[in-house]
Amino acid sequence: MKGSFEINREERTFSFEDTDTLLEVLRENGYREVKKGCSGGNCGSCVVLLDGILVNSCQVLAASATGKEITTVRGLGNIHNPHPIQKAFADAGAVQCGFCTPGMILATYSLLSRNPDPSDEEIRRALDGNICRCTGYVKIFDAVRLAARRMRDHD
Amino acid sequence: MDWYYPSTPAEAARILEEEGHMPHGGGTGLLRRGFRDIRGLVDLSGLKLKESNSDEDWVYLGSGLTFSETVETLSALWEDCILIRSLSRAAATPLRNRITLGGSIADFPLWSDLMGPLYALGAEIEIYGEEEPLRFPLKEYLDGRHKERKGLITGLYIPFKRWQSWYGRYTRVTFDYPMLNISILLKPDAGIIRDIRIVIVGTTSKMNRLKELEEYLINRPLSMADISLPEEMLHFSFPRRKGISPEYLHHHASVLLERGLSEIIRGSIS
Repeated sequence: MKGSFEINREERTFSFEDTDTLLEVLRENGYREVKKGCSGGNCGSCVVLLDGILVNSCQVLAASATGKEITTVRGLGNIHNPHPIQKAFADAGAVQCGFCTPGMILATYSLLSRNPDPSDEEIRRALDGNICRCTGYVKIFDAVRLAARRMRDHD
Repeated sequence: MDWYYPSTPAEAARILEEEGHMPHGGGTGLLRRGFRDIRGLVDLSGLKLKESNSDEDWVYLGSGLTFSETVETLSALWEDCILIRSLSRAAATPLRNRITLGGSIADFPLWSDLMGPLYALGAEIEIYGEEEPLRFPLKEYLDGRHKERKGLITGLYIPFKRWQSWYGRYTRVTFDYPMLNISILLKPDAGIIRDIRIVIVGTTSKMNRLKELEEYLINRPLSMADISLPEEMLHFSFPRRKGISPEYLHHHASVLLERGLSEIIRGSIS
């Protein structure tokens, strides 16, 4: 089947199988920043924003996402023009192997869009679907707090 | 396999009558189940199934509401509802943003954080059949009395009654699916337990309401010092799970239940 998506503010049309997940379709078409981890909705490395809502792309059938807006971490910013959250993760040393980082940044973006001044408990809950096997989360939490502070100050 | 994108419940219900056709809400249950024997998927996102409202007697929740949307909706409508506590702890944020009420009822996984509270609350489900929506008590639907109706679950009605509530779940690690969960609703009045409902999910029969224990506790004083549970009233058993025996789960459920009762009763005194 064929389907169109608005990915990072760009209209794209792809061919894919009826049972393909959004993760498979995105990766096959060059969006390799969406990481393939557990493929079972447990690790959060594949999360994207689907019409602004954080979802595991491995748990979304592509056919159900046609016509929708999809944002990957690349849609937030890049190395030349990073989003404040991406910069905060780098500045706080919250990146080790980097595999979970796109998911962590999108989960942080989803949280801070709704709640610009989250408590530690709210950060913990917002990132409960993202697993990091390197850093132990301390630096990641530092990065979320740093990003929140910078974004508030910037506003 | 074909995909269908109906715009009305009637249209969806009509397609679902065909052999091998299944509804697609959030899709998480389907991906776990696999696509064997499925000839068609009926995407429900074009139907207006995210409605919610309430009157003095009932709260209505559309079956297309995700767990996250349900928590947000109930927080505004009914802030002490046990479902806020249970659904906030289900799975993880990106999955709660995708799992729908309707899908979770139709699928009823053994680790469901939805079904115990719904059963305890006395929820009814709305099914869109061939002509018009019909309402059944959730228990009747689960018992299979209405399974011949291949209609579409379009919503839930929950009796709007004030209960004190407690919700507990057993997981090996916090982000794991629960091995079992317990819902307790309590209505205290003038220092006694006027009404109580206790439901365990994850048992051999998927879900048990402990009516004998409820009857034992009703009209007892809230100040009772000893709430140790009579063993003969704990009529539930557990299936064997990987690395965990049924006996261990039974013991764990008994401890969790005693802790829950103790906390909810103590909470209603203070």
